[in-house]
Amino acid sequence: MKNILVEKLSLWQLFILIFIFEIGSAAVVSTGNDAKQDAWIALGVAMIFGLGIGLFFHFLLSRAPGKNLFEIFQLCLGKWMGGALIIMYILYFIYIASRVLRDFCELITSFIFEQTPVEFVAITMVVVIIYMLYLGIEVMGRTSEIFIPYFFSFIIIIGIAVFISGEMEFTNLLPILGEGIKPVVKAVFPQLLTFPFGELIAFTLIIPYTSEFKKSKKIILLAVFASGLILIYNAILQIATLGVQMRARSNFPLLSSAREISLLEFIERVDLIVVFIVMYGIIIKVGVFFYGALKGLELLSKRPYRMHVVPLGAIITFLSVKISDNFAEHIEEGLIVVPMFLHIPFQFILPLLILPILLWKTKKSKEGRE
Amino acid sequence: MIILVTFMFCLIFCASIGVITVFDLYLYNQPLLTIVKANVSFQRGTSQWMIYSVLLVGFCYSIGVDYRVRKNKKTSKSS
Repeated sequence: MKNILVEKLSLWQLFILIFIFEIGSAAVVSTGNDAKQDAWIALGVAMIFGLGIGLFFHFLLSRAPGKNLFEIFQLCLGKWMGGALIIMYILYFIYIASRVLRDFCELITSFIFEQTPVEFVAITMVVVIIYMLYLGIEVMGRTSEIFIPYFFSFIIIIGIAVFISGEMEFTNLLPILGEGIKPVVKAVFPQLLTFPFGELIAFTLIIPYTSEFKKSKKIILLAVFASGLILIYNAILQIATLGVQMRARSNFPLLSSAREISLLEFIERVDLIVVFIVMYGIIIKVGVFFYGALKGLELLSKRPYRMHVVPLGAIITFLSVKISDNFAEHIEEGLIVVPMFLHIPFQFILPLLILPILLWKTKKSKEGRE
Repeated sequence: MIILVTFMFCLIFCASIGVITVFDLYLYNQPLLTIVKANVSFQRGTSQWMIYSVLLVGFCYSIGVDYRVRKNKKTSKSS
């Protein structure tokens, strides 16, 4: 392999990337609707499982230090079987990146640029992501360092502003667990577990490139915990402002909540703050999945991933539009097909199947060394 | 392989179309050909020409990359 640059992310950059990635599109579309007014509890439970998922992925990587998930596949299954699995993961990452991009395009064309075609929004976003990835994952990390204060403070400010506007009705959160634990369980399995927490699988291609791998475990846990808290905060904000029915019906509940802000009859229509949060979240999320797919192509083609950035970006743009004809179809696919046929196998089943082989192989090599 | 980037581009593109076709088949129970046609064909009167242009740019770029790699290989061999 020639001209392949070794990139290093600092732990702080890793924390920020995971934090923004987890909030990303989960903050935009309504999550945990099955749990109704207990969606925030469901998110809390899912966050605890998310910590476990993070630990599992870290454990997988720690068995073969310095290797990413795809290299582990090749180590365990050999060149051809491993290669086939890598291609499947590349397709998975591309498909999810396209879906996430479509979420943003729909938001923009429904609320902000109503006359602008979805295609144009998709192309402009992908151009930005292509440029960022062409310069490397380090650039994405450094850019995130710049934007994180705005990202974080805007999320908090929206909640405070809605509260001061007097639009929050905390009785909407009652009764707590009125229908028992069943709706919460239904919301957590498999939906909240796979989206957003299971999507951490994409980070198995980034974590090996952190400056201090040993310390990355704590960082992953911290980032998942922090993003889980923000998602709970968001869910409480949305339920208290819109109510259960309105939240379930709204395509973009955070945006609908932000539209209720009216401070001193002067500060109104702060939609742009939400759009900023969503836009940056989507850039990072698409970027991370895109990077995952690129690392797979790099391994298979033995060429630097930068050579594949533009062609793959073109495919993601194309798919984001062709993936569904309208937003209803897009959501239907996201609720029915994606969790069962994509998320669960690729996030849990395949890594779990690989684990015993990895343990056996690494044990064998350890014994050999001894 | 000399045309690796172009090959990968075509492979990933075809496989991705395959993936979305399978999902549409599962959800809508329409004939396979109808779904493939809807996923690949260009709908006139829409702005879809933009994404087809981008796809063309991606394809041309991958050919360009392969050409450059081949040229570099030849130069290094001759020197």
